[in-house]
Amino acid sequence: MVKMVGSWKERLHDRMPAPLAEEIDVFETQIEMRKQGKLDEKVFAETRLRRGAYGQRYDNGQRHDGVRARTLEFPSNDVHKGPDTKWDAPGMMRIKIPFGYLNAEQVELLADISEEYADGISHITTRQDIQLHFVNIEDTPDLMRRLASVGITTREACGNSIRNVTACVRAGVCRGESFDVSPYAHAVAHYLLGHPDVQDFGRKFKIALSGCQHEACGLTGLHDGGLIAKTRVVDGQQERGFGVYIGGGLGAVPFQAKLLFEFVDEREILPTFQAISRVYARLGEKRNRARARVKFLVQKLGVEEFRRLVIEERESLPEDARWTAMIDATREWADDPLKPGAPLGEGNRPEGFEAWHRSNVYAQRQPNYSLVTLRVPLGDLTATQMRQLADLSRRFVNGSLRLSVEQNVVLRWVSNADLPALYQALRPLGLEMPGAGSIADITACPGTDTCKLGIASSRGLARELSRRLTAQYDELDSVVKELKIKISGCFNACGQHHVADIGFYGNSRTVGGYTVPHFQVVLGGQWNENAGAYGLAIGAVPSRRIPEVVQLVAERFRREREEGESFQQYIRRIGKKEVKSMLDDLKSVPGYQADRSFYSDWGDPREFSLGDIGVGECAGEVVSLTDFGLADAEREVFEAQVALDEHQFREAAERAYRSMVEAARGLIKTKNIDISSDPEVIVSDFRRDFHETGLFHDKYAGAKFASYLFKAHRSWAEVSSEESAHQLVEEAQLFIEAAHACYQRMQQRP
Amino acid sequence: MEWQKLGVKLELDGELGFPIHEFIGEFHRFIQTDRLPIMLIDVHDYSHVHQGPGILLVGDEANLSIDQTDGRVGLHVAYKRPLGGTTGQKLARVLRLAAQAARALERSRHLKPAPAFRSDRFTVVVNDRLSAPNTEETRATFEPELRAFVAEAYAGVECALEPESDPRRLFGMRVALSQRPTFDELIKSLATLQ
Repeated sequence: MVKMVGSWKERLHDRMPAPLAEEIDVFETQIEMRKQGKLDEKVFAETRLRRGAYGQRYDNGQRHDGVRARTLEFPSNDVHKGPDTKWDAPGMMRIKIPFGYLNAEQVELLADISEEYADGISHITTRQDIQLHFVNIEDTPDLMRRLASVGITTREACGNSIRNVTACVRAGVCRGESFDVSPYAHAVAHYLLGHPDVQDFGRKFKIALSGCQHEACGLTGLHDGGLIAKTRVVDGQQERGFGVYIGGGLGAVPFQAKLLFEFVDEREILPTFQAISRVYARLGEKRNRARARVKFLVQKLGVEEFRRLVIEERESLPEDARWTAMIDATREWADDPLKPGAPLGEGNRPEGFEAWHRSNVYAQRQPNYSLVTLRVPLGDLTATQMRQLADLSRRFVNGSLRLSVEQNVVLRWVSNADLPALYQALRPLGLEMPGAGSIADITACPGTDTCKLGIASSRGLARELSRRLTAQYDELDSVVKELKIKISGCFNACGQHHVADIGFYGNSRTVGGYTVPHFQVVLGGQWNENAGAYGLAIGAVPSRRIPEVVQLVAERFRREREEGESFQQYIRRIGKKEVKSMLDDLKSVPGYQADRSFYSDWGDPREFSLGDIGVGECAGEVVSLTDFGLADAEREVFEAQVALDEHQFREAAERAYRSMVEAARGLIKTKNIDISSDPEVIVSDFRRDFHETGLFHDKYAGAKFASYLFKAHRSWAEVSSEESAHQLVEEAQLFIEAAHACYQRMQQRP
Repeated sequence: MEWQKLGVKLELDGELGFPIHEFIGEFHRFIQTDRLPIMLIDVHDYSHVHQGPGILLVGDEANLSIDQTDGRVGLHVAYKRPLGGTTGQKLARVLRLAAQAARALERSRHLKPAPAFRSDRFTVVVNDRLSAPNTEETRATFEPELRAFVAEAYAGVECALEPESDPRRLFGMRVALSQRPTFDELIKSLATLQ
């Protein structure tokens, strides 16, 4: 007898917020429509990106196996989930974790889904997300439902929208902060999530919050938008606010964010970012993706003009009660300890505890409490580790933890008296390693492991360097221990190499007809001051020689530094010419026959090739609001057909009518992005702007298709038979086709 | 019951005599030479992860890994795509793939000393908490089907089963047999059951 197990959709029905559940249902329908060829692959690509479902290396069905290029024969090779992206190819799921905050239940759920839908690993990114790799697109709706059941969404984790909102992991316990930015990060993330004004960007937009100016904290300097907490006293009252920064970014052309507003009152930050979003959506580049980030718009306009436009936009925004309500709610934010703090005491300490305590424990401003950083190699955690971390968070702190931009896990509010017990408890998890944030604790983007754009193996190199430096860690000079290494697989800088003391990004050189993996060496970036300065590119060195580069540079710094001199100061003092000459001897590549190891990458014995690089999805597809509107209309009419097949003719009629309204609304967005969702308004505006102007009229059929909308608007509710519902569905399809044709004509106009 | 996403982990016999990353090259050779009867995609190095998937060979139908969970090294095969047939036929297919991979690794001239895997000690996992939560009810349903399969595949050899006890973990049962066939024998036996 077959046991009925139901579905996650049924099982979690009561545990998901209704709007989120509906969004996921819609996405599931879009998946089905794409499989059936009823949704354009470009629109589907941007749709799935905005749901966090990203492409992964080899998803174009091509891979060089080290001997020859091969075609990967996936079962559904004629179906694509985006341009040149095979349907069955494993993909990546990015899961937004605003300010890196997770409760224990969420951690356990992430562990479960990493096992069931991915490869058992939850990967912490440099922007406090979790990524799962090797995920099948058809598993994503259930994966999203399970996340939604514990309050996590993947919406807008990728694509041209507001990405995960990050914040300093010390927020609330930092000794130098103005105030706790955690609840503000929550407010910004949730206010802008799915907001209509963030749907029409030419590229992504990343926001970070920081509690202070001078430490690394939120890295606001490298973000599209940054907020640094500030207070001021007015009439004897302390007011909270933020310095607002705009136009930072890494990548091939790194920019430092510029000060947009010196002080924005806390109650103004949501409308300010709404106004920024509108300016960016309206004036940002849409065609040339390489120039579409907001940093280029700020450069083009100048920060003064950008500021003027934002102020002007802010003044025209319709009032939104959430601007203040969400900020008022920040006062209710509670991040309390599990137990009273107590001093560490003088008792017996476990072996290794002292070194761990020196490097991984930060004294909170609250007496007798510590923030503990767990060093997570390459940001990878198993499901078993995740469950045990959830247990530890319940045992030692308040059942929560945070993910850091250095790909580590942070436990806050650990009573100092509990530190030895926590250290002991971390040992079976393999997470008791000292050196968090040190030279041995290396940050790396996925690189060639899974990224379509990766050129060289950032993770392979990081693994090798970490192995060597961890082995030497106890003997390293303290000034060397404090250096930071960050590695990217290409110039796009997801590993944030620009702000490391010693940074690398992957590239290649041709030697004797062979392609040799190299890394560009970038020295002297500044982590503190919110990523206050970017490093100098010194030159490309063969990948195999990078460990020697680290050893040489660290040793020269240790030997030659002046009293109190930082690594940044040292590099600037000796000058680029000297640094370059320091590396000259390491740039040579032995012949292929002499040493073949130079011709393969770290952790990958295949002969190195650039043949596997694909087209990245970082930029997403530039899909207009009208494209999305028409796609929504098509989905609705698809649902109408399904309802018709199931003899639900009333539902079919309603969906058919709604599909026409959606299509009309999509067209109206070409003229007014603020168009209401009220059908009365939509039909009225459509009549005025598209029907009475003749813009919608077909060359042969004239106003016939427009009349379908007007008729349905008047009388869809009167449909009383399957036959009339069927007719309405047919008319809806014709109306949507006419809307597509109209939009094409509009785009062709000079 | 319709079980899918079945997995098998064959235990390593003794200790590995070489660093685990040596499997990276071998798995790449698996891809280059089409060593297994499924489409293989890529190799992933998780050797830096504490008691993790070790070295992962990603396939379309199934993933294989030199898994280190709980500090016990083994060859893990995890099916991802739905399998047809009875539970016995599905288990035969999964175990056969594991046996084929184990045999290939044991015979590799690049891995020295040659690793050895146990054909008589393995864990069967159902990687789906919807259909197979780790409960007594699941055990009661699954165990008879697993016993019937083992009886056929191993021709009446005595069998002890032990369920995974942590309810948060995936449902799984460790199988211990009183006789240890060679992988050639096991593959031949399983071929008749698929």
